[in-house]
Amino acid sequence: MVQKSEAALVKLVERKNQAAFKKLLDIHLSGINRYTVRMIGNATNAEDITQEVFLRLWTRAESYKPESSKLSTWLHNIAHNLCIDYFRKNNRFVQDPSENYQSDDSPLVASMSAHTNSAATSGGAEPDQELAKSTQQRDVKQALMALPERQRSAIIMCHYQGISNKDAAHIMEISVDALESLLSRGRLKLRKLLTEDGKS
Amino acid sequence: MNIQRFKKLIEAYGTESERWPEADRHAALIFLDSNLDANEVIKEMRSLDEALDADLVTQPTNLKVDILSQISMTPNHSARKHGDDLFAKLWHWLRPYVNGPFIIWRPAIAACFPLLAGIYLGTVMDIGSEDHLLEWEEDVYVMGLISENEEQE
Repeated sequence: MVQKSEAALVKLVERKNQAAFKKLLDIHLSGINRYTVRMIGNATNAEDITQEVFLRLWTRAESYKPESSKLSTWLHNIAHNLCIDYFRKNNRFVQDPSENYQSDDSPLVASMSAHTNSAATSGGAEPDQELAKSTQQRDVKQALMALPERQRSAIIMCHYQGISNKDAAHIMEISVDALESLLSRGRLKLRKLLTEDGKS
Repeated sequence: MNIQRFKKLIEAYGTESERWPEADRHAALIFLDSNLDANEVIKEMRSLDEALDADLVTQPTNLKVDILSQISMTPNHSARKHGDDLFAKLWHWLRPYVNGPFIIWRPAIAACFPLLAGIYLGTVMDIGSEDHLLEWEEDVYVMGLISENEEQE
């Protein structure tokens, strides 16, 4: 039902109907932006990519085929490809963050331990909780950015974006088995980064 | 479902059942209800999902406005040449999905069009027909006879 009405809205966008475009923007903007921010790790560049995704919806709406995929999957496909292009273009200037998280003495693990210890001893005072929460958020962001792009993309799609394994595999142009392998390896690495010994 | 598959499922998709693949979800939930080891796996892995869920992304306030102002600046698609539209439509008909299955009968039909057009033109215009040659030869022959008779007279 949703897919049908979205397909009708896309048809209107093909005819340059701004109201239909606004409606689709309301539905999909935050989701696509969450995906690009988590993929790129830099809000400004992620916003540029999000803008490009919706510009393509505006200029190339006719290439969306509702019988082939959901609109959300189609937009994620564009966002994923733009993120990969971004990484290719900026490869020379991006330092591999995983180098920072090789050992258990890394700042990430240390801060995670400190957070766990302080939460246990402080009795959960509110400012401490806020601090711990923001520290944990920062750590998760860093850990995600430490993953290889494909593992990160798989985890973001399946964990945060609620995309089915088949759709995620289609977007990444891999088999469902290969996607599962990426997810497992990615999550294992995240556990290692976010806990002292990989066992939470 | 067995413990190996259940463990693989949790390692890939996490502990929340709504993130599990639809094909496995029902069997995995039944297995979880009846197996203590499966519950242990969930306990062991839950903290990663909790940590991931703590990461929130705030929505930039001006992004929607920026996109709307950008699209108002893009040249109107309808102002493009009609020929471009036709070509794009034809191309999409021939090759419908970029990453999807290739439909062979469409380009095959397209390839038949020049052949059919050639047959049609050949029939209508009567190109290469031997009748024309015969008529011309007959004309020359008759003219030859006439000039011969005139000479004899």
